[in-house]
Amino acid sequence: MKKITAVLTALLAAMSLTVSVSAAQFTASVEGKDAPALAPMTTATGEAAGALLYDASGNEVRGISETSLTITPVSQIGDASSEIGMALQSAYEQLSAADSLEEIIPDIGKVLETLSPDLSVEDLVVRDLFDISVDDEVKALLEDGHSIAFTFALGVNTDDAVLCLHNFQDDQWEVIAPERTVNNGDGTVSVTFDSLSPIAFAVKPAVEGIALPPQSEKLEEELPQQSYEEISVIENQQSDLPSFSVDTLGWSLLGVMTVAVVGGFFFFSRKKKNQA
Amino acid sequence: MSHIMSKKPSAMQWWLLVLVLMLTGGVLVCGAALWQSRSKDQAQQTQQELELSAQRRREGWIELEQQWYAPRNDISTVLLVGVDEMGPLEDSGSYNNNSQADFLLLAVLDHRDKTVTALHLNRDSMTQIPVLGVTGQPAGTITGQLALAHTYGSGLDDSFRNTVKAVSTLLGGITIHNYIGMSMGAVPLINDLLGGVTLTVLDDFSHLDAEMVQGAQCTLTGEQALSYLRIRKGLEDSSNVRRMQRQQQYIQALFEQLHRQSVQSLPSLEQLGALSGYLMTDFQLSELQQLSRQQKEPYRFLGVQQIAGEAKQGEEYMEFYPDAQALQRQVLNLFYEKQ
Repeated sequence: MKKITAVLTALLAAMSLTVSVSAAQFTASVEGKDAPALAPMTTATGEAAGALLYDASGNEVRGISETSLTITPVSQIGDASSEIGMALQSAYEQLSAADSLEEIIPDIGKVLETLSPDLSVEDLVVRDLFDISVDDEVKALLEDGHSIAFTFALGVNTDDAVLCLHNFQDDQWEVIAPERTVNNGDGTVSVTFDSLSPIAFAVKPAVEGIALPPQSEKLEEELPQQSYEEISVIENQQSDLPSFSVDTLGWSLLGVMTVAVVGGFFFFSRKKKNQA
Repeated sequence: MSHIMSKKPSAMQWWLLVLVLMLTGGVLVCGAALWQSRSKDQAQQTQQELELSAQRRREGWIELEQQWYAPRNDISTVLLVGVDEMGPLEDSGSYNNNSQADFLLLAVLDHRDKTVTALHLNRDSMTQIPVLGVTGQPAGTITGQLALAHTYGSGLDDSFRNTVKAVSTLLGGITIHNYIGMSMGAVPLINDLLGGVTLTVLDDFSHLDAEMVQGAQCTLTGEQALSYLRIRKGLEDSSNVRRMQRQQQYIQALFEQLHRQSVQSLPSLEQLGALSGYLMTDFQLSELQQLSRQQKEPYRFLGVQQIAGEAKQGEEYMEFYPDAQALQRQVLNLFYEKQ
């Protein structure tokens, strides 16, 4: 036992590989993010923005700087303001406790029907939860009927079904209308809100599979097709062939001999007749 | 001419004709039967081969260049994960955390050949990372650096298991039997428990520690080991590759030192217990006991392998792309057996 622990300890003792982050001459190694990052947006006039503000008619008003926006992940509830912290904590607890999203969003099924007949509530997994808030100026504009659009770098696949859930009040949730939730196909999702509070993204995850080594994966993809094709070809060949067998061979030979014997008998009968 | 045409064939000639016809017919029929029989045999053989191939693939076999490789069942694999936290491992209180798996090393214990091989994985290896959702359920995958796998989950067992999955995916779906996770704050403690590790300093650390001059033989203290294995800033060769060389040197020195040490001088389980807050594993005691029973004699350490590939500057961060063919051969060599 000691040798085993010694071997493992030796390897453990070497585990201090940590990248020194962000030295000036280095390329930083990746850091995990507690919440999806905002992808940059561009106003109609070509200016970079963290979000876009629209009036009640849907016309773009202006861009909102990232500095006016605050994203609070669940892991930083303790560092957030009491209002945001409490709301986010409540949202987290509601999602964690629910056996199904239908418990907190009763009409989610109707929304799913409009997206795809193959999509059901049971297919969905809540992937991200965070709070997004704006400064008081923008908040007042939203209360005045404006809307705000963000683009989130979720890392979803092009064909992923993505729903944005909005906890707009206490235990009240809504699904942001599908036409206001756009999977941009590049891993980002753009969403337009009328108000802000904790939001969550639910996705239908793809079936988990294993990335086989390239050649094997190729063979794995080809094999079933090949199997079916080859087997069907074999079956067709078998059905095209005459149904010979050893017994059939014997009967065929017997048949040929019978014809020969009968033919010979007929010949000799005629010969005798002619001689007669 | 008329006499030729008026001459009738004799009986003998008729019989000969009949005989020839019979023989010809017989030959044709036999030939057809043989051809059909052979085709049927070939078809059955092909079908059997296809069924065998399908069954082998279900059992995890791999075919490469018309050679089959079966997964070995006489090896044990343990993934060692070091996360970039100085303190004890803690629950983040959330469905994700910001601790990354900065050190990844897969130990392969070969019970047949009595050897141990270590496969050192680059934290920046680009691969499919499983994403865990708000309730801990699988929520799809993203393509990203291997180190990010640990950031999904609470930072404890769920995160380490997620990292195991990501490593398994990178290595083509191999089975990883267990993991041992540790925060890097434990490294100095472990180093000192072993009485320090002696090696020849590869790079000049004298600006940090006067003893650690390039070329000098040092018995590293815990803090020195931490610096030796972590730091690259300020060194003549500040590349990650060079740092990985130092790490592999340290591992090698550690194993050699352990082999020379008597069993009695090794840390006891009780001493290792002091590290409990810094360590996490999915080993059960029974599994450790079984592993111990299998190792009746010391295993030879065959060294540390790396995965060949290319490091590139991504949009924002470093990205490492393994050489697919080289990786496949390495995986087959380590985890499979030619049939």
